[in-house]
Amino acid sequence: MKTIISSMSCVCSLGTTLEEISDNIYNKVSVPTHITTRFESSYKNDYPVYLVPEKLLSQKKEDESYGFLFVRTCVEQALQQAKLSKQDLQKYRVGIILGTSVNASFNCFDFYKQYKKNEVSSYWDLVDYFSYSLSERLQKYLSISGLHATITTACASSTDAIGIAGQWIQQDLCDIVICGGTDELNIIPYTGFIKLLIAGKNPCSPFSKNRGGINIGEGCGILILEKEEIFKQRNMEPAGYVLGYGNCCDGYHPTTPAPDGIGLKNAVMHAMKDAGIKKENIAFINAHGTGTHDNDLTESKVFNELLKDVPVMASKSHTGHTLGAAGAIEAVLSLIALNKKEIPKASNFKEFDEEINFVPVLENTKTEKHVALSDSLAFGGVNSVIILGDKNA
Amino acid sequence: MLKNVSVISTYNTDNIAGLEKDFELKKIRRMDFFSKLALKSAVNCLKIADIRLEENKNIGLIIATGYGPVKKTCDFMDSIIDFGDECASPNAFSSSVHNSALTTISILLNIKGPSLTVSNLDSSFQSALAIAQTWLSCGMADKVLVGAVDEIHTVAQSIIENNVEVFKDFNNKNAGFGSAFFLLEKSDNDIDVNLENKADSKFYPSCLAMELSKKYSLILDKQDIETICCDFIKTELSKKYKNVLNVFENDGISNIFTDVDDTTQQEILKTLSSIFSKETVTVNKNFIVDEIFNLFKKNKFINFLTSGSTGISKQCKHSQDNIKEEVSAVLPLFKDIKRIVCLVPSFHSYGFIFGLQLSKRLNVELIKMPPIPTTDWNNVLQDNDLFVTFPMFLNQLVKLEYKFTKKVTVLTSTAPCPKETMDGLYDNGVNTLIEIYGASEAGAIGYRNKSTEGFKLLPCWEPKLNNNTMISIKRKNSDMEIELPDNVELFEDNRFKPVSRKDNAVQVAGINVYPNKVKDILKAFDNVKEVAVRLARQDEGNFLKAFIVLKDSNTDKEQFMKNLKMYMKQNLTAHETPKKITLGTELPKTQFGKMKDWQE
Repeated sequence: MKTIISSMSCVCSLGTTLEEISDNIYNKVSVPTHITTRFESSYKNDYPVYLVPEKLLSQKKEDESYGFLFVRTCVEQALQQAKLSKQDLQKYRVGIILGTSVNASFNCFDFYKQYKKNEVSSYWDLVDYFSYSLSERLQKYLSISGLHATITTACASSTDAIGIAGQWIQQDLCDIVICGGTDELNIIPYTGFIKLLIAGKNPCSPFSKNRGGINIGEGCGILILEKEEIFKQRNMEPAGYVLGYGNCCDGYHPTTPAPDGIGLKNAVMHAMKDAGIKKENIAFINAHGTGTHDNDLTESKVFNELLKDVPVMASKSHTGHTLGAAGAIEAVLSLIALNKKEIPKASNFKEFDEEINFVPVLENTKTEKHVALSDSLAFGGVNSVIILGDKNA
Repeated sequence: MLKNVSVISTYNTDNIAGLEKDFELKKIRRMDFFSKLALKSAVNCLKIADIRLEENKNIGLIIATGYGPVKKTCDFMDSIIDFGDECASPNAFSSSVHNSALTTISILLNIKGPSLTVSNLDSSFQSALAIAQTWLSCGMADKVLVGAVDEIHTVAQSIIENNVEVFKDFNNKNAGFGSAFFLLEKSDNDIDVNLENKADSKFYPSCLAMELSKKYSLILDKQDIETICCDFIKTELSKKYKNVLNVFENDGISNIFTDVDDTTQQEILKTLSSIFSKETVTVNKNFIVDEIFNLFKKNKFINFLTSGSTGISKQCKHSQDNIKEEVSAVLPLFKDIKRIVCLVPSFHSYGFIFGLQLSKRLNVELIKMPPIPTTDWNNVLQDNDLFVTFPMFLNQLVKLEYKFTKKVTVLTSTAPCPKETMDGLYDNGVNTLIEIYGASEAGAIGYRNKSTEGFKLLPCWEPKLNNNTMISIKRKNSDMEIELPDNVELFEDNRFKPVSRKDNAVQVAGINVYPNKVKDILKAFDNVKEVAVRLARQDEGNFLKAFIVLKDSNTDKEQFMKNLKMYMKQNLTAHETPKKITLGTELPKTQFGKMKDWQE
């Protein structure tokens, strides 16, 4: 599979434009913050989060969620970068496939609280929830129809969205696919991860000894994939390529990855086969790297076995765990790194862990290779892997 | 249209009964309803396709859910709201994610292929199908198990019920739960997903999945086949026991029984009978049921034997689609039915349609009972029962002046129900009586509620007319065309009345017999000059009687009768054999020369 990525965009704690994000990931140390306004929690001073900058959050319209604000912002940027107008989209078969966790769930916490007390002041949250799914809402925003899907495979959602988008282009089901994922900070996953004892009180430090766990984040990543003949008409450089996709299930445990990494191993092998690449071609792995004991151990086992000595990029030390958006944000960060030919450093790493037996990239590191592998692991034992190529791949 | 994909199997359900037979209790005990619903359809879908769980095949899994596990999400929010976030339940959280059903299925069914959950409200299943098609097309999986699952959104439901103005556009859409799964593979075929009647509020938002599953689902599962075999064995054990499995199109299977001697056959049947009556599954039983099931899956046809009532058993082939259509056509007659009490065995077309199939479509319990008229049926029957019976049984109830005290619908078929029986049933408290007019070749054709009414043609049939006479009937959605067994007059409103039988058959104890055929056989006997055969009068009993004129009037009549009885035993069935034989010098005729009845 070699599918053109004509443009990409991202919003996350690192910034709200590609330039800002690129500058921050290479030049600043990312640290999480504490929740102040979004919701009340007994844990807000103990468990930090990675939030999208306030300058964007303040642009939220009354009738939209933060998750959709992120999507809207990213799609506008990506279309502009791709030199596509909303009118242009009318000419093509445009698919939409987005991953999310919070923005598909019945997470109307404030409404539900009022409902339980029989004190409902507004039904907007509920009507909104029943009116449009995330992918349908974007269709409506862009005034398009066609193939669409909202993927809700927890933390692997948007990696799958990108992989399937590539397949839709390859199989001529669509001319253009807008793909990626979004998630917003919400009391449900924030509290849930804390109660599962996998949230960290300190800044997220993937693959580090004594790592404390997840810092919840929020954000969105969007990629525009196109058929070559359509892209060529605009005489521009691509942002990169989707080269391969693999997805395999552990069938092991609801919340813990299989210790032998069987599902991840199979997904990596499938994706590499799909891309027609070998280990030697890979510039770096953008690891799922949540900073939890079990996740990092499983990934390290697979990387040491299949991809020994390939540099590991630990994006979540910059962005936190953005759940359904993570795969898409990491795909964008991977493409930034590939096109800049420099792997960004990890933040917050403390100490080598013998069990892990490697350290992630700790200094910004030059690379001459054109391909990156990005993996995502999710509740339910879902393992998704995409292979991305830079603009010269 | 879903291109290059075919359905290997499908299963749908709105309950979680029976899961404990497939999984250890400890593995499913703490599982929530949402995951159990999905698991039940998934496991049965794979079973129908004969996919063994222990084999690690490259099967993909895609779950579509409009709302996800709402109940668990609410449970988690409840735990925060009611007890504070420090007491929030981690188990409720992990079960509240949309791919919780995927988790359950992949773990318990050992699925290691690609897996995904899709959740975009009422278009979730369409999106899941598109992704399944993609995965099959690019070889990511050999087969994809794709299913939809949803549970009732309790919050939406209560708001709708309270008529909140802002929710009025949602009508009753959010009421529904169920699951429908499909095992798909790559093929040269296409799947038409543009189905009518998508707004099945019983399974909103995943109603398309349910409709598609109904379209592609088999009308029989292995449990049904056990029921049919068991009914057949019970009925036939004491008399005919050959061709046990000929209710299906399965020559290979029936050979198992025809290649062995009679004694061994009877032993096999006795063993089978005892096995079928036990709950435990045995290798033998599995083998037989599996073989029949595989044949049915392959052919999707059922043969109903005409039970030899015409002298020769005739096989009437019915396609699965025709049976589904027939059940759909009669469904509106049984709106308020809560249970079916059926006296007709499932291998008979009448029992198959109105017992086995109807109970499944109405989703009501099916109770099988032996047709004993002396039973105190008021202890068995409940209000809103459908009582599936036949005229002989009902005649007896009327004769016994049996009073119905429950509000039941009595159904009768297999033979015309006499006027006095129908009237008597209403006099004795029957709430609704439905007489089905049908034929083995066609299944149900029409129905009526009173003996004075004509039968109403079922909506699945189109009449073919010659003046007012209905010559044949044709299924609207297939090329199935049936010549009617009777001369039938059609009048307004698609009502019809049988005038006479074309084949001159009469019924003895509910079985068609042909007096002309019996007459010909008797006439071929030594020393018989002329014969008349007719049905005895009602006051005489329900049998054939014969009048014989001998060639030689000096014949030893006692010896003649002895020889004739032996001859009849060899050449006629029990129902065909005349119970009264009168010898005379000339046939009884009217003054106009037409045959007339005779006294003994």
